[in-house]
Amino acid sequence: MAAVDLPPPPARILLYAKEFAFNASRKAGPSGTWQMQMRNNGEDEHDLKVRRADGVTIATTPVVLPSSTGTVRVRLRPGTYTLYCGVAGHEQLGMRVPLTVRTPKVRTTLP
Amino acid sequence: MSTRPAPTVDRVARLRVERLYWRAGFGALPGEVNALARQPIGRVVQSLLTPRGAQLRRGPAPKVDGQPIDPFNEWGHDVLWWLDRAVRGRHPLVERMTLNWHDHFATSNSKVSDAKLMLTQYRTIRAHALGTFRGLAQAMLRDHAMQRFLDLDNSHKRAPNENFARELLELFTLGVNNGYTERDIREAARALTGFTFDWETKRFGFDPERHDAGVKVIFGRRGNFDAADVVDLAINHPRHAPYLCKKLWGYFTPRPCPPATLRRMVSAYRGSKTQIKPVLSIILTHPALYADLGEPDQVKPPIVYAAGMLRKTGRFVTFRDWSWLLDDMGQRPFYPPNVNGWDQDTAWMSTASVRARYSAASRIIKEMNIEDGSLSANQTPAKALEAALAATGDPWISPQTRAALMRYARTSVAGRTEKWEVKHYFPERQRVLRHLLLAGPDAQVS
Repeated sequence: MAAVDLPPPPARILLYAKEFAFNASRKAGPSGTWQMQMRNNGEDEHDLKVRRADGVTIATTPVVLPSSTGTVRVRLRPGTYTLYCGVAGHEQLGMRVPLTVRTPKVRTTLP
Repeated sequence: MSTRPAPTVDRVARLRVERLYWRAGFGALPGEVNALARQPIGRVVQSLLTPRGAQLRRGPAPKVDGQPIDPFNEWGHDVLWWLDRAVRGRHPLVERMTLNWHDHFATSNSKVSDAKLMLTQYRTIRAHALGTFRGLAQAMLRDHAMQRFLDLDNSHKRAPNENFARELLELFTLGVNNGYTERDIREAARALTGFTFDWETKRFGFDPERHDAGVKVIFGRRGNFDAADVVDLAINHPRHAPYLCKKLWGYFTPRPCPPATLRRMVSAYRGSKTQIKPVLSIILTHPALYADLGEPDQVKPPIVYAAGMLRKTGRFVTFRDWSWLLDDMGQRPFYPPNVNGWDQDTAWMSTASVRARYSAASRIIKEMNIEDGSLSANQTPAKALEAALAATGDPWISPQTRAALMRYARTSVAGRTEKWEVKHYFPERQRVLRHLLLAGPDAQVS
């Protein structure tokens, strides 16, 4: 049987938010579709936004209430991104982490 | 006094094994009950205390939507990871004690915010689960999830944080107001200073400059005590052994611990230099554990209930709903409600949590795919109940429940002879019987 290309599973990242920091489950991953989740372990509302190196914000979760989780899917090309909280002032207080996206090394296929 | 008829001898041996595996594990697998029931219960306990071989039995690794679970990078998958260990584990007592110690040294990812640290803590607890309590407590002192949870990770000699010191005495080793003073807590907190955590680099460490190396007075003893000394002082305190042994007893039976048994456990614990196995051996072979086999008296904790259903029905972790189902049942592993752990036994039973247990059973029944039209009208009520019992791992049910289920098996299809009725009501009877066996009152207790 011919090999069948499967769509690769999304790369995943989980960020825990508190006042005022993000703790990300990873710092880098492959290009393609990403599933980004933000768990709000803090006491204030937060969100999660994705900004390209050129300064353009390309994705965002809705505002996430305390003890809730927000999810966003986004396609990322190789490059450097900043994941940050878009609530006024929160990024400046420390709620930002970098994410490096690289060209994937392997492709998922079934024989 | 019980009015129920005494079970037959073979039935008693089976019931003993069933109770032991529910209390000291996550329920026996259907295929192993009879073989275990042929052995003296002491030998079965011994095999639980000395597990050998692979940690996990054969069976599919957990998947959600066809993809392997990802406990570090997806919310809720850490819970699925724990549930899978309980379902596929081949060392039931080790896995169950890991859960018990997680309750004892309760640490929540709702503050730690790092699934990697939480899974590392799980592995640390598991490695010490049947070892010495001293080894476990010293490992918890250095565990990074614990250090972050109880604010040990940046406790400075200029402002010692008392959280870990307080819980060490109040919950982990002695019990509330049991042989220590507020001054002991403050002095212990001084000895526990110096651990560090850097949010930027995510590195944990120890800085001697931040540690208070001065003389402390703890439990009336003076010395240049450090963090490890504090743990040892607490474990060597005369009130520690009775407190811990009594707490361990409570994980396995809701009945009060007889004073003579407590003395025996304390003696075994101290004599073995805090070995946990001798204490467990006394508990798991004690007649109180096997009393009134026809009237189970301990409510299954939610994760035991959930893992047990999967084990009894030959199923594995295949959907993400377990994460919120366990939450709704009141026990989400890695997320105890506070440092005191979970309230046990009847506290598990509330209107909402019982509803969640019913929902969980529904989800499993749905996976069984008993479609309309899949059963004929030739299935007698007795055969229908027999089939449902076989599909749910032949669980214990009281005579009253058996009679009620038989009544339902008869009446639910009585007069249903039309083609469309047979197509729907006979499979529906099977679905309902299995649901009641998995989620009825008898299924909630062991």
